Amino acid sequence: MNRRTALKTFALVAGAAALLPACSHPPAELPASVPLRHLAVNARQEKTLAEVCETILPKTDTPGAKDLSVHLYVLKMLDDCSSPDEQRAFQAGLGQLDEAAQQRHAQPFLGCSPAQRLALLQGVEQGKGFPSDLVSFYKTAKRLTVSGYTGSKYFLTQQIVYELVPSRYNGYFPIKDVNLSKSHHGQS
Amino acid sequence: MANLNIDSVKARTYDAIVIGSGMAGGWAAKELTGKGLKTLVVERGRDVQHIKDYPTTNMMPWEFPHGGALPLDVKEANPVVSRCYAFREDAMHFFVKDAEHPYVQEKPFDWIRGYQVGGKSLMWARQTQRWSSFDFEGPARDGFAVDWPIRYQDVAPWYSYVEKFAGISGHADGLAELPDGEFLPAYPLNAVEDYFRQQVKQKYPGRHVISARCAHLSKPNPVHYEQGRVQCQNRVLCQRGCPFGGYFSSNSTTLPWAQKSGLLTLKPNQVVQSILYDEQQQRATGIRVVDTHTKATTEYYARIVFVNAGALNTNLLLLNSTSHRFPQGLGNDNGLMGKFVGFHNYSARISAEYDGAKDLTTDGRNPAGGGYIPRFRNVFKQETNFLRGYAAGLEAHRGLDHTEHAIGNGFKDSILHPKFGPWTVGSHMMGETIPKETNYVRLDPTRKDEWGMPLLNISVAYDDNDAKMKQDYFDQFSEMFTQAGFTNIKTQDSGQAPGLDIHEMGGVRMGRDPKTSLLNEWNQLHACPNVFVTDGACMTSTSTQNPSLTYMALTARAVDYAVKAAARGGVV
Ligand SMILES: Cc1cc2nc3c(=O)[nH]c(=O)nc-3n(C[C@H](O)[C@H](O)[C@H](O)COP(=O)(O)OP(=O)(O)OC[C@H]3O[C@@H](n4cnc5c(N)ncnc54)[C@H](O)[C@@H]3O)c2cc1C
Ligand code: SF4
Repeated sequence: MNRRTALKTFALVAGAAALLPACSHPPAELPASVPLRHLAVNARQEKTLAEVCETILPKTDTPGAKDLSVHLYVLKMLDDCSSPDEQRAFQAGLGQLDEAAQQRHAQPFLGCSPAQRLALLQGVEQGKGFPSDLVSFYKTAKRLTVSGYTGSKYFLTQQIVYELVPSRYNGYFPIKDVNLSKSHHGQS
Repeated sequence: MANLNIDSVKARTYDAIVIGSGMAGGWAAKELTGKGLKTLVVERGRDVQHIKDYPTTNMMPWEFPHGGALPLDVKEANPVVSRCYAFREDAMHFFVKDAEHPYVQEKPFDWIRGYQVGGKSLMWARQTQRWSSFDFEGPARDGFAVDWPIRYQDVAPWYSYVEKFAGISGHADGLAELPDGEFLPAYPLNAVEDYFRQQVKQKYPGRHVISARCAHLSKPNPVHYEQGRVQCQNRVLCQRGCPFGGYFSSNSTTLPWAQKSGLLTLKPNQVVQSILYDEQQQRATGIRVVDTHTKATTEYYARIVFVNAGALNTNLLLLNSTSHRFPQGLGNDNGLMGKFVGFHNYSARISAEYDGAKDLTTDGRNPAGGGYIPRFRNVFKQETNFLRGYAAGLEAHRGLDHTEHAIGNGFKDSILHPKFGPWTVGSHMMGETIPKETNYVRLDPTRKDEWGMPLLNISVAYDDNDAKMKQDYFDQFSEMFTQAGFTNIKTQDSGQAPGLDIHEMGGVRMGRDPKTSLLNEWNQLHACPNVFVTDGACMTSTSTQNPSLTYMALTARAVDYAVKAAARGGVV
């Protein structure tokens, strides 16, 4: 699948958002767009999470976290694979994010500008003066955003080429022959 | 009516019966059919056919719903098997789930099983080393267990025989403590593994770092093509089953070969409950099986029975095969069956970083996994305050560095275009344990499973010798890593229970004396010589080597003996 069709697919997956009213802040009463068994995350929190993921890995000349619907992966991994403790902290931390945004920028996270979002999350990354659940939420979101992004079909076919069948092993491979900025750097 | 019965008995009569279709049973099937015997293989699990039944084998990482990770409900429902590193989203379906086949842990024991055609040969890590003279002579020299009735010379030709067929890659290193085999080309050490090899060679005479020897076709021979297998393609996704037949498994190699003879009948979904013993003939006459779905019982008959249900299940089955003659289990006159169970101590690891070899990395994947350090403690003489010793794995890889404390554009850039970090180096211990009478399995006195088999009670634990050995591993490897200039050295005691090594052995040990052992030098029950036990249950001691290659060699050797003895009209 080439990059264009890949992006089309992401657009389809993200299509649920398009059904919402033009207003970009979905109401809290709506459930999340994906079925969740353990997490109680509403449509608005889902959108907040999507923006958190996007702040961590933003769109540049390559797709951002939102283009790849990485937040849906984050939700699925949390809902299916995480401990109840981690799930609880994640949910609490997601709520605290809006409080922190209110205090600093007088808006919920979704109302903040990209620069304000970045400043806020960089602060949480330092950890100082933020509640522990918020820090824990952020760390979990960051870890899963990275694994979701680097485990995505886009990343493993367009950025590096994941090789199912490498058919070789060289234990003395010169780094100068590895081009990490090229699609294929043999590190899969 | 009488005739019908006779016909039905005839239809259920074979020359030989093999119980279990895993690593050992697959070899028994191949050898028996190869010598012209009409052979029945009975397997309690479902059928798994090569390639056709490897559903995840060609899946891309993003096609797994959880990227390979285990969902929490799977982990919670399966605390035991979830501790096995290979029980992940891609190979979960080949492992026994905790609730399906309960057992009783008198002491903590992680019993990792694969009930299916092929057994655990599908998911194994394919490490294969021969035993040496020092291993077979161990109990006699160091005064534990009983003397092995065989020596390295007895097994050496059979190692060669199975290695040629299975395909073992390795390097002829010329070490007395780890004899060379019939090798396909070895997988090379990488830059840092090789650097460590040279450091050890300079600074520690008598210690060796070699390429790990493994059951992969690095360069197939004609016999491997004849098996329908081709060169290993370095996927290192082997636990899913390999479409190339790049590694040895019963499914890819021995069972299809046996099938081609036209003499094999393979019956999956049949639990063997017991082996039938005939007082008049003073021999085993066959087996009683239960169909896993219908629960109907059937009997099958043969002159020769190979018990290859996997070490602890072989104990269970023999202990459950009671008769007037053998009230404590088939061949168990001395009451030692189920006792002197051994395993490998895999509870220690060490990791470090290396700042050199900065201009190098690796490309592709290494099926062998890296290097191997044969046992160097107490080999030629006793030199420490513990008995026996440990082998160790060695693995180095070049990590990628993502900027840790950043998000946004710069962070993304570091993920799209990562820089190389330092090399990381790791090693794990593979320690020999001393089989003791107090490490045993027995039948649960009351509880049975769905198929009428008593549950197995397992009572196996580490001892003081294991603790001292582990400390020595930490000390020696910390020192060797320091001497090699590695930094950030961290030792890690996993605290894992016995069993997770998946190298459980013993309980039906070989020996010379029927008073102190259960099997003779040909793996025949002393007291019922047409029953052969050639899986891990037969092991008198455990050595440090990965055990499966030895099970294969002992199986081929025992079949050869059984068929020759039968032709002579001998005891079998
Ligand atoms: C993840 C993993 C990594 C491993 N790595 C290595 C390694 O690197 N090197 C190495 O040497 N070994 C390794 N092993 C161990 C290796 O797999 C075993 O030593 C080997 O498979 C044992 O062979 P077996 O024939 O005795 O038992 P199995 O292969 O387990 O086969 C026994 C068969 O008998 C069947 N059975 C049991 N009870 C009955 C009954 N009552 N009736 C009928 N059938 C029955 C079972 O269903 C099974 O199919 C590893 C194992 C695992 C799981
Ligand atoms: S490493 Fe070799 S044997 Fe393993 S899956 Fe790959 S090709 Fe098959």
